[in-house]
Amino acid sequence: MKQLNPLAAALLCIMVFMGIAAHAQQQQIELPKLEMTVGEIFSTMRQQGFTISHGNNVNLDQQVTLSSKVLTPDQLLKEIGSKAGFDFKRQGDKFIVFPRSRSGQGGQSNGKVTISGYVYDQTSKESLIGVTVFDTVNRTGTSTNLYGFFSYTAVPPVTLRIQSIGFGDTTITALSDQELSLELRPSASVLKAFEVTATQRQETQMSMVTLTPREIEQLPAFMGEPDIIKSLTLLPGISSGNDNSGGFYVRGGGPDQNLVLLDGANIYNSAHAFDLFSTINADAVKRVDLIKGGFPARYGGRLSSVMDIRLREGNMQKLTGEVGLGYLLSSGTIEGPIIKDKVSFLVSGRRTFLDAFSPLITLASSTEDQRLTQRIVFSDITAKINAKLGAKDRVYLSFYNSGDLFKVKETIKVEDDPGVSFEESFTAELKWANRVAAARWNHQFGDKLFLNTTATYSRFNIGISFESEQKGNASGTNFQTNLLTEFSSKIEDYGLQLQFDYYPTSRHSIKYGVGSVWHEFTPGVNTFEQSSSTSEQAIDTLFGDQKLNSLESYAFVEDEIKLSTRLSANVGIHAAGLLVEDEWYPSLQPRISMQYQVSEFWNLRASYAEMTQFIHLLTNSTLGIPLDLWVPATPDALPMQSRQVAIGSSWDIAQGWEFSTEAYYKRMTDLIAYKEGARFTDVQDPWQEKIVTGGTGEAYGAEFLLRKNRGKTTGWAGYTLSWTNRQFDQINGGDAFPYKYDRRHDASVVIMHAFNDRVSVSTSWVYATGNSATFPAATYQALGAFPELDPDLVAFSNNVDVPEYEGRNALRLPSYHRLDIGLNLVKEKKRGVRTWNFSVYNAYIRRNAFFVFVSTEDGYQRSFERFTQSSERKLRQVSAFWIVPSVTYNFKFH
Amino acid sequence: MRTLKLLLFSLSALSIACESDVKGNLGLNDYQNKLVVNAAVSSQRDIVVQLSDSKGILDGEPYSYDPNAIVEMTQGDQRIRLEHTEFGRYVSSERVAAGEQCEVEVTSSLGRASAQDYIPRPVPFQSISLLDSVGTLNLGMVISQLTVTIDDPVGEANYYDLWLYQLGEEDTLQPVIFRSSSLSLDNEATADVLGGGDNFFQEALFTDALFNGQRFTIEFQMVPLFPERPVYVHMKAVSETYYNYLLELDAARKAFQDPFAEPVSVSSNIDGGLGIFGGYALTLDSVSLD
Repeated sequence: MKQLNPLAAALLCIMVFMGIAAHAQQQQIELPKLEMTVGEIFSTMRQQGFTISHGNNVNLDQQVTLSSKVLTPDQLLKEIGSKAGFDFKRQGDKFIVFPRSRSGQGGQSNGKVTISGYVYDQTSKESLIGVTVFDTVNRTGTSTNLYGFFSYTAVPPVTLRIQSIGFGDTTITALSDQELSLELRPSASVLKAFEVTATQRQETQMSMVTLTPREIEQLPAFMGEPDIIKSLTLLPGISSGNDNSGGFYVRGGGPDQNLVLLDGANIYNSAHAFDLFSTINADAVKRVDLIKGGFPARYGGRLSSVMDIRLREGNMQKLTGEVGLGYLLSSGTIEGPIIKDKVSFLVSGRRTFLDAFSPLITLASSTEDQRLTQRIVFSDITAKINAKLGAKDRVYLSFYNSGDLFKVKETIKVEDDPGVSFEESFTAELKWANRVAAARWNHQFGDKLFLNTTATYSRFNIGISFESEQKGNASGTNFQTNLLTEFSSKIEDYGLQLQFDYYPTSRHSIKYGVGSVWHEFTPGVNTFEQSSSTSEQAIDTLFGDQKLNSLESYAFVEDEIKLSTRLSANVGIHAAGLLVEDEWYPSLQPRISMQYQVSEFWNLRASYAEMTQFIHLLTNSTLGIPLDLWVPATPDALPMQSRQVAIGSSWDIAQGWEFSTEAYYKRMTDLIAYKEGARFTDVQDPWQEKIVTGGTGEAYGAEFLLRKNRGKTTGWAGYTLSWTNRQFDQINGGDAFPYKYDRRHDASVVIMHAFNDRVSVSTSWVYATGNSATFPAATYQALGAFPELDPDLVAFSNNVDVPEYEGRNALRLPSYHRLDIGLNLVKEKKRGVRTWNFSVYNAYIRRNAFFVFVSTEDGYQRSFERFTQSSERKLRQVSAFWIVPSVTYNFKFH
Repeated sequence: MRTLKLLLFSLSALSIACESDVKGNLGLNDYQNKLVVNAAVSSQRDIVVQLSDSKGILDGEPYSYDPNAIVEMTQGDQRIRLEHTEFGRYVSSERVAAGEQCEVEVTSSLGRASAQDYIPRPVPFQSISLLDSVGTLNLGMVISQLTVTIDDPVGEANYYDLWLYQLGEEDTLQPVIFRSSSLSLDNEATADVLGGGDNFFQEALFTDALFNGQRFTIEFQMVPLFPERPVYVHMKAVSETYYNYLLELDAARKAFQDPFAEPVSVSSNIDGGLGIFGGYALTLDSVSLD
């Protein structure tokens, strides 16, 4: 075979390349008319696949007359640039437009230039959070804030690489001050994650995990519903209690020690239906950051974690929506522009249809004389309006409401004797609700200062009621008695915060601000109503209605400092105080975290943070259902404090593989708990008399995470080794005892595989040491009330069987583990994208203990009662979930 | 309990829950039975010590007792040997003296145990009177007022356990619930049985912190069960150890009935075992409703 001459081959390659380039250069744009505005021309170019980025100082409304309706991009931009006064730079099919009058001129008197602006999703015009803005020359940079804004100052020329997970990147070069509006195109590959190397990541923040909706959608969905909190508990350091326990636990902290923010407003309860689902609808979420340690100074008020949830803003370009239909939970989302490119809205709601199964359950569980009905329903709605008032102002309105209801009614009919009929019914009802609203105003002062003002409202209330009704007829006479007992508890917040983001130089990124929250507590109200047809007197009383108010105020300043090319730090102080019952409790909380870049792929981190919490949650330690009371810190229950130190490291060990590890130690003081024997429903006594105070807590451990972020198969393996305990002088004889959610080992393995764009599977396996529980080891007979009397004279039981406990939380429940599997089938349809999700929760039917009890021959009884005859006793457990398959149909409209 | 059953049924139906045996019993089968010693000792009555054993929570056998245990009580130079009568009950007709410490030692098949406590002196009633129909409660219940006056001993902390009761059918003891605005009680009220939102008690546990060494008058408002029968005022002066035990037992008794109550651990002063060895002195009187 004759070989091609090398020179000829080279020339051939060059010609082919030039031909390709020429073709690219010669790709033409077809315009609808000759008279168009600059903005219309840019839109046309985008529709035809080009990316146009420009600053706010490009006049989009300027009318231009074109020489032709068919031009190449370069010709077009040259032509309109000469008329509208701007220049442009091209990078492939991306164009950066900047005013001609400023090119090559200006900047600051110190010779530096500032590039600022916003970064958006090209398709929806949603602002993008946490986008890396990296100076490829100076090897430093910044990132966009919560509203997509960034500012970077350096000596020109400045070349910035803009990149974010799930999006294509872009690079801009600036010689003068620029105000930009950049757009990133969503990446074709679903998880184009962590191409940002360790060097380029600009956050010093350690102990933080971030989830985007795209990542959440890839994880196994419980009952077909992507769940934010369940997804987070698959990561080290974050655990769920167990099935149906409610809440999540971070580094040994309690469920009350997590600050959950939805667009800046506090959410007090994060679980629907005993932790079946999170109260947060993933369809409406843009991003979730969970910080476990090294808390930046802008956050405060909780000891153990901050979950900052940012809602999406709504598509500014077109009306889109999504519908999800599942047999247990269905959802719908609609979003779109109210005024294109200026005002958008988003509304997303979910509702369960478990109540549709109620008649079946009633049919299966009822007999001729006994009828059992139940109603279980929960729902939530999220809504947002986002408005651009100008180049420098933006307003957001957010609203969220969720509710849960569990109702059971048992009716028994008796008609044994002739002429006598009797019916007794007993109804138990449990309900709780969250309501949150936030109004925010963003204003940009120049190119280095950004202000966010947020006003918030939050309310959480729970209620439990028991109603008994007896009615009947005896010898022709009707009778009826009613008894109703209700318990309710509520907390309401009104908040205001101002936060400034200031970017003076490339080495400093400063946040500072002030805020206040007015808390209104109604820890417990009891209502009692009784009436009888045989008595004229009726009872209707309300007691325990003790309201408490408190004002929590704070100020903070933090600086993200680039000390050198390798060393950066976030240093800050959070100063807070609580005014309650004429007492003032100040708190100064230093925060520091540092990162040292050992190499491009390896960093070391350390942090120290002090936190103060001015609010307590009294948690019932027996039943894991949300019958918790929020109460303020008072002179009787001082604010809680914590100090946490953490060290860690992360390696990009190979392309697409990352390993990270952290160790932490946290000490908590001034904890409170219910005292022994206390009953939360007993509101006759103030809650302050039912608690023990001055408790301490300790939590320490190590977390490990190995993560693969590239390729068709992605996922991670996480492991946490930890200890956490509590100590109160009045509990457990003053000895320290394990915290209820002390889990020595916690592991998870998550694997996701995309066969192609249409078919993907995911599995997750979790393992955890069983929770601690207070359970009697034995019983014995106690001395009765009247030991000096003849026992035969005492009508009620003179001797009582009492439990012997080997210690508070001394029993370790069986280990918890389960496997979840999910399959997604995606198909592009004419009007949108259809997805079938098939999921199995607890695929190998592990019976994880929700709680344990002693069963005697008579069934479920008090385990303390002992008979005079031998009886068989067994240790039994109730498992909340057996195996739960689900099928969900989801359709996203274009 | 019914409430709990209904809520759990709801939970089960919701979550396709199931019940099953716990594998391995979580080590609860490893429990070693302990000697239980229960005795309330007074200078006014025969000495009675009840022995039994504790049983593991998964042990379905009834409590057992050792009829051959050696039970001895010591007070100063006095040493009293108790004899077994029946069902683990050891008795002596000898009396201990009030105002002194007393100790018990038990040697049984379950091991050895001992305890000591103080035997209080009786605190007599200075006066006791009853007024009928001082008011009515919700649903037309009639309230009577009982007034009791005592002289609290000087120079020492005193602890009291008080009950009101009547004798019902076959002379069985029936507690009478009451409330008092003159007493600061350490125990919890009985549940709001009358629906009035008021705190009614079945038992009063209180100390002399507010009236140490003084004459003190206690007024009770009560609802007698049998208007025609006398009301007994049963007041024990108890040792501090016995008092704390009664408080814990009262809390534990109430917690048993409520699935939402925090668990209560009842402490013991028996060294080498479980139970209570407590000293008391009884003052008992009755008054009739005329």
